[in-house]
This record gives sequence, structure tokens and C-alpha cells, in this order.
Amino acid sequence: MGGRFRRWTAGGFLAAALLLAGPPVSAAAPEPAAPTVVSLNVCTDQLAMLIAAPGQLLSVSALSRDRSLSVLHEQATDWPANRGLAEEVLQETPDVVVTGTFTLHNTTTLLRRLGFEVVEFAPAVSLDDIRANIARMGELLHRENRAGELVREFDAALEAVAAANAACPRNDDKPGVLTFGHNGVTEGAGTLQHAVIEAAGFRNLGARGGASGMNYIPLETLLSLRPDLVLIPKGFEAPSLAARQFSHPALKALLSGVTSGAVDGALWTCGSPFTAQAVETLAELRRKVTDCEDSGQ
Amino acid sequence: MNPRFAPIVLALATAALFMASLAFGAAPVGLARGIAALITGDDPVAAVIMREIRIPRALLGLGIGFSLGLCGAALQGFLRNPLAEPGLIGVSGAASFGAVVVFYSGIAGAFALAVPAGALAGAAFAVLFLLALSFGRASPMTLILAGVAVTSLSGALTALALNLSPNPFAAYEVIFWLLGSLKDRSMTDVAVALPLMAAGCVIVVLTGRALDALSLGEDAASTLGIDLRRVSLLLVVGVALAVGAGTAVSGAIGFVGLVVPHLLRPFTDRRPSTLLLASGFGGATLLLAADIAVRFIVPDRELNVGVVTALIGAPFFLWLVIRSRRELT
Repeated sequence: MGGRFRRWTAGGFLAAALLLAGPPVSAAAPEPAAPTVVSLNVCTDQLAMLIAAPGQLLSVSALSRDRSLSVLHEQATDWPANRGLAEEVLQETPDVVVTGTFTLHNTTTLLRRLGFEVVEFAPAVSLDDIRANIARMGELLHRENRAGELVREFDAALEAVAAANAACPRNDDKPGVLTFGHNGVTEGAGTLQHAVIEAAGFRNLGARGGASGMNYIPLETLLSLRPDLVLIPKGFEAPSLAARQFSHPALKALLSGVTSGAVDGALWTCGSPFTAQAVETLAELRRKVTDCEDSGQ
Repeated sequence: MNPRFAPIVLALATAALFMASLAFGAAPVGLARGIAALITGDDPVAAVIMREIRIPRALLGLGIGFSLGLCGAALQGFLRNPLAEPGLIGVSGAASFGAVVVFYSGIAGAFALAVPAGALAGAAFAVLFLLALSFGRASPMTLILAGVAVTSLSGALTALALNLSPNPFAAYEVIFWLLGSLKDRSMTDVAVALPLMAAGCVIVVLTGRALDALSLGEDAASTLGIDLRRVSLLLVVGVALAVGAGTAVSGAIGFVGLVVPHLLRPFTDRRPSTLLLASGFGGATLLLAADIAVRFIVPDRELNVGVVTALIGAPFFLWLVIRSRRELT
């Protein structure tokens, strides 16, 4: 998606930027009502990049350029990067600072003391949270129309998945799926991953027995659950012990459905409009696992 | 008790704990079900859990415990120092550092034995350094202090190497390399480490007769026809192989080689050579037992086995230090 988006819109982007904003820093003040904003969190970064009008977003966090965390890692280079330091915000003097609830607590407190309006976004753990966060960012930036458009696209994508799934009805016994992350961590109920897995029509074995949040799952337990599909992350290029279990012979001996990097981690690290793509990818995978490919299409 | 019985009794204890190690784990697969599954093949989940997870883990516990106990006894005999032990005198720490450099720099992908090779190099370096020091007639305390220095230096270098890795998880893995674990190792690890450990142990056992002679003093040993340089070479190679290969797959596990020879010495005829085998099996018994214990102490987030051996070993070490000080004064 990133590549295509860039190819088709790069020219338009540039033209728009030149026409409307000029060079971003010395920007002629945007419309008086539109507040300027600095984002300090990789999740708010992406919402702000999607929603802000040219010139409105002064800088995004450096993490937004990280391929493994941020879907918009390429576009993020169009904005200056900050390291989440209060000093940087002081120089940029935005009207609003947006950040995550659980990040940078000291910075948040300091910025409030210095008189900045700091708005914290709780991490999305459900699809409704994503809709709410998009709408909230739209309100904050006085860009309600753009936010509404994004929510409508998001809903349309999810409805399309639901329609395709209807041809391949959900069976509560099968197929079971489990995320198996670095250091043997799996996601239970109350996580965005759980919401995505359920929306795709899978049963999340990570939430068995009411398990919620992120939990350590021993390899033995994973094997005895007999999941139809194990989702392992693509991992980093540099080696770590945390990733060593992904190539444990026991996984390969027993399970045919171990899929690495099926869902690009960035799609569901942050709840964003892109999370719909994670649902689409998994739903497609489910139709394959359940042999619905023929009857469904 | 006849001193010949000690190794046999401990070998039986090792065998019993080996079976116990196969019986307990996160999945509800007992020993009977596991063995039946291995034989009949009717129960693929249990068979895979046994074959790919529990058997490698028990084999590594056996091999690493044996190596550490054996090397502890050999080093104590050779250096005639009651505090000599691979973990304390820096051999395990240096081996860990060697393994870390190779693994996290990505060289490990080049060939299967790269990580053990790194660990062997680290261990050999530490043993050589300590032998050089002890040939300069170092007092027991000097040797231990030098060992502490090597251990903290390699610990610091290990942390530094892990923090330099671009992988965000690497920095947290310092715990594994400094405190050791046998969790979820695989047959691949066994295939890499076990032959090297076995070779190292055989070489160390070969020094038994020389160690007996050395207990009479270096001059007496020379008159008995013991070639000191040959013995030290054998020990360097043997300890580096046995401890290095083990550390490459389990991280540094401390105190096994310290506690076991001391506990067993009263049950042998106090000749270093009889203590060697007994300490090997004693080390295997201790490590297998500790590795079973970690599965129950905090079942949700398994403890590192080095935590348990340190909890047993550190107070014991303190007691030894206090006692040896009393003897010196």
C-alpha cells in the first residue's frame, strides 16, 4: 500500500504542499481556526498525518519513520521528526500537543506546567476505539470532514470482510488462531490483536479461559492447544533470543499453519484506519484454512 | 561408605532426576503418557512435546550439570584452591561474553558451531589467564579476586554488546546470559553442545591421575613423572570445551561446580581423581533438580535456573570464605 500510495500521490502531494503551505516551518499562518499540532507518539503520529491539513502538523515522533511500527514510515519523512523532548515542543510552539496515554509521562506533566494543551490518546484495543480516536483527532484539528471520510472507508472495508465471511460461516470450534510473539507472548482478550482476529472470523486461542492482555505462553502449552494457525511476527534483522523460538523444531514438527509476518506488525501495533487491512489479510487466510475458497468466490 | 559407591549412587540419582525432568512441564503430559506416545505414535502432541522439548532439556541439564561439577572438582584439585569454580573464576562469564559477541553480531548465521566457538574462545582465554596467574604463586584470595574481576568485566562487556545490538529485545537478554536457563532449548542445541561437552569431560577426566599426584605438591608431582605443562594444557582445553559449549546454549550457570565437590568430598577417599566422576554426577543431579524446581516456583514466568543455583550456592560460598579465613588466621 505504501508504495502505491506514494507513486500515485507524490506529485499531487508536492503540488498541494507548495500551493497551500509553502515550506513547512516558515508557513504563512494556516487558517486562523485551524490549530497547529505536534505529535509525540507513533500512534497519534499516524492519525495526525492522515487527518491534518498541510502546515497544521509541525512535527512527528522519530518512531513514525520506523518500518516495523509505522505504516506511514515513508510519508513520515515529509515532516520534521522529534524525539519526544519538551525542549523541542517549546521551540515549535504548537497550539496542541498530542501523545499516547502511557508514553512520556514526565514530558506530558512538564509541558502542561509550561502551559501547553496536551491531549492524550489511549491506545486502541477495539475497532470502536479506532473509530473514536479518528473522530477525536478530527475534532482536535478542526478536520471533522476528513475524519468522517476515514471512518467511512474503515467501516466499508470491515463490512466487505463481513460480507465475504458470510459465505464462509463461522464455526466456534474451528479455526483457532494464536499470536506467538517475541519471548513467547500471546495476545488475549482486550487487545487490538484479539479484536482483529475475531473480526476476521477466527477464534483467538490466546483468549481461552478468559485470558486477557498480553500473556506468556510456554511452547508446550501452545502445542497442546493445537491451533490451526500460529501468527508469528516477521522479526528484526538483528538476531535475538526473543526470536529464537520461532524456529524451534517442535513448532514445525506439529503445526502446518505457522505463518510468519502474515500481518504486517505495523498494521496492528497502533489502531488506525490501516488496521482494517489486518482484518482483510486474516479473513483471506481464514477462507484458505477453512477451504472456503471454492464455495465463497 | 566405600568411596567407590559415591559415583554409582549419584549416577542413579541423576537417572531418576532425568526421568523426573521428562515428567513435568507446562503441558499436562506425564511420564507414562509421554513414553507411550513416543513408542506408539498415537498421540502426536505428547510425542512432539517429549521429543522436541523435554528430552533436549533433560539432556542439556544432564550434560551441563555434569560438565560444571566435573570442571569445578578438577579446577579445585589443580589449583589446590577450595574456591575455584568455573562461574566464580570467570570462565562461565567469559564464555557467555564470547557467545554473545558471535550470536548478536550475526556471525552465528555463518556456520552452526559459531556460537559455541565464540564461547570456547572466551572460556579458554579466562582459564589461561587464571593459570598464568596461579603459576606466579598467587594466594587463593588473589586468584578469586582476579576471577571476580574477570567475571564483572565480562558481565559489563556482555551488557555493552547487547545494548549495541539494533534489536530492541537484545538488551533484555542480558539476564539469560548472566543467569542461565534451559527453557525451550531444542535438539539443535543438543546436537551442537553435547558432543563438545562430552569431549571436554573426557579430556578433564584424563587429568585425574595427575591431579592425585599434584595434591602432594608440584615438586613431588614432577618426581612422579607428571608433566605439569601437559596437564595444564589438557585442563585448559577440557574446561574450555565443557564449560564453553554448555554456556553457549544455556548462558552462565553459577555455583554448581563450587557446591558439589565440597559436598561430596567427605564421601570419597579425598583423592581428586575419585572426586571427579562423583562431582560430575553430583553436578548433573543438582542442575536437573534446580531445573525442575524453576518450573514450579513461578510457573507463569519461568525463573532462570541460575537464580536457583545462586540461591543455593552463594550462602555456601560465604560460609567457605568465612571458614577459610578462620583457617588462615
